[in-house]
Amino acid sequence: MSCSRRRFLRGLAATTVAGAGVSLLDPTESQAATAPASKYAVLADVRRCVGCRTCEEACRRQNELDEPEHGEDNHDLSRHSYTAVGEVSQGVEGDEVYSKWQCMHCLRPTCVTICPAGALTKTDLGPVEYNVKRCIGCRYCVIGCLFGVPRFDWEERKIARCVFCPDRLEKGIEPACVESCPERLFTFGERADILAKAEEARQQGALVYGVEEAGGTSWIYLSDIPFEQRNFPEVDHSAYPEHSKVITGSQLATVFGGALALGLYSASLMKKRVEDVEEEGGEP
Amino acid sequence: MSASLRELRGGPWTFTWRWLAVLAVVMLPGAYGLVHILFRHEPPPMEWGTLVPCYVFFALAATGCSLVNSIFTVFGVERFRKIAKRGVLLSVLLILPPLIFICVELGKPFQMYNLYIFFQPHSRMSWMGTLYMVFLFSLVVELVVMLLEESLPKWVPRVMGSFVLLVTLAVHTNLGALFGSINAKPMWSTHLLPMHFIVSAVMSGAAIHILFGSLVYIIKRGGLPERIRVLYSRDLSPLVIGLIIVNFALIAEKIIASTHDTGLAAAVAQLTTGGYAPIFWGFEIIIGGIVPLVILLNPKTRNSTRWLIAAAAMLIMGVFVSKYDLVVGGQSVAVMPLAGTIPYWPEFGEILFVFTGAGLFLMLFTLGEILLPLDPEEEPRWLIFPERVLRFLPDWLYPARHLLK
Repeated sequence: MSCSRRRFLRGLAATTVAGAGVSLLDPTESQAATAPASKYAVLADVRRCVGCRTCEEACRRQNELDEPEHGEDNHDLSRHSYTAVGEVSQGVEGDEVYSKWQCMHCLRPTCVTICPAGALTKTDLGPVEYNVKRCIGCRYCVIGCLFGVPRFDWEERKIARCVFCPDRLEKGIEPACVESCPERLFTFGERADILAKAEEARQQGALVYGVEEAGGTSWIYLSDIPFEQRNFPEVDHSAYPEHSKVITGSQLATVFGGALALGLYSASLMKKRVEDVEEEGGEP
Repeated sequence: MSASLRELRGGPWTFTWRWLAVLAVVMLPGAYGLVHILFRHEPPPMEWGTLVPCYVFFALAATGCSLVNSIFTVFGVERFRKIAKRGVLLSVLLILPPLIFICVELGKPFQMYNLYIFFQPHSRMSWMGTLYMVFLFSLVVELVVMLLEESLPKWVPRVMGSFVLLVTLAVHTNLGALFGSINAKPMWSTHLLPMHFIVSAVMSGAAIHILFGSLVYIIKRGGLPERIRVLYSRDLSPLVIGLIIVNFALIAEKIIASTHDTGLAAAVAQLTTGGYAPIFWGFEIIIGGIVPLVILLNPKTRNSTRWLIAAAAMLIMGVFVSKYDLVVGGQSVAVMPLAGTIPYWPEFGEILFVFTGAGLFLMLFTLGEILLPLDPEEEPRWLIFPERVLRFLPDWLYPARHLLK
């Protein structure tokens, strides 16, 4: 039995050392520290949206997308609609309320951090870029997006979502949907200026979405009714890496605790065996 | 059942071949499922469909068996030696179907190599792909080490066992964290999920040990040897009882937490009162938890082989349903608040392919039982196939030749 006890202690020591090794693998630490600066942003004042869907058409032209198929919900994001406009609820005066959705291009995007093949990258200009050649089609980004944006295009086997017109941004030109809006709902510019405008609107009574949500996004919205009524999810202010750190801690505790619990259970089994043998008058 | 068993004792090959033929018939329609999933053009009803909970279930069963094995391989409880080799074989074979499931479930399976070429240290899914490969290969090595245990220095199985325990804990807590770190799915987003996964794993691992160990002994020898039955009822049952109680506590914690969190409340309501309520209360809680708990708590039923087998089978089913509820039920509430709930029913092709995966596991396990000496006192007749193959091995593969002695 003493041999078994030594073995038990060795086992416990081995798992403890190994657990310490696992603790070095906080998978999101480096990502949290190296969040890139996002140069450009858009302020979307959807209070004035009339639902003309000109932006949808401009997006389709820019990205060479087909028209939504017959029967497809063309008010939802899809492989044919990287941006979508829909009527969502009644406004404060009982009028029709429209909203526009597209990828928010988060400052520290969950999709970029969790992608297992590095198919998604955040650029300094703002867009989250997608490399279809690297994508393995796991759809973890679809599952993990806090705003429920990406769709997997099963026809072409790629992720379908707003690309934030990177070619235009490189030239300092606003995205196609922004340019097309007849009501001029959108203000495109450097993020610092957009944040200042959003703060100004907040002080005038507007509700603001995207400054703090998910650690900040490149699209910032103004509304006169709660954003849940505009079909925007309630999102934590912390970015994925912060939330993930808590899970990493729990993971480590489970590695240590699991090994310890198994070890203690094994020790109790050894003790039980000794007691059984002693009761029977034999040798352990 | 008993008639088949009597027949087996009279002629094991007849029974074995019939059994293998049945499994082949069960597996064949999966080809349709494979084609359906690989070449689909329309989006599935839910982003991660039935193959993902099946993946999680098989993966946790494999890790669970491995964790139960560590009671002998790492912590040295000698009487678990009797079930350790079978446990390692079960782990190796249980991890094969989930790897196939997840490859097929990928939208671009032929680009899966990118997972390894462009490894992302900050992605839990990257770690999952890598750790499961390490897990599989380390289990195969452990199986060989266990089979050659008597001819190897004593430290070799111990070191291998410790390494496997580490990989097992790392791989499965990582899987728990992969789901638990997703804030967009309130049902998954809890820091307790890695622990919940380990609890489910050990629970199902112990149940699989009991179920498959008992059935093998009954089929091979007509009954469960007393020392094995005592091992199951006195040594493994208390562990399972404790884990069922912890599992209930974790479920209760989630339900209580949902009273303070509107997102979680909507997700939990799907389980407790919504579309998933019948399988949650019926299969996960009552049949998969309370009934096995009562069986194992009662000394009379706990010491009966039949009741033990029944409790183990119900527990395994309960764990499967719990993972289905978690993965599929967790996606049933849409992220966008006005989108409501997403209805889901498994596709026919998916169900067929799951049967293929399960059939593959059972077929390989049957072959493993026939070909490998998994019991300490196993007779060499179970080495018919290796003897024929190993005869041609070169001398430097001494340990393999030693197997023939």
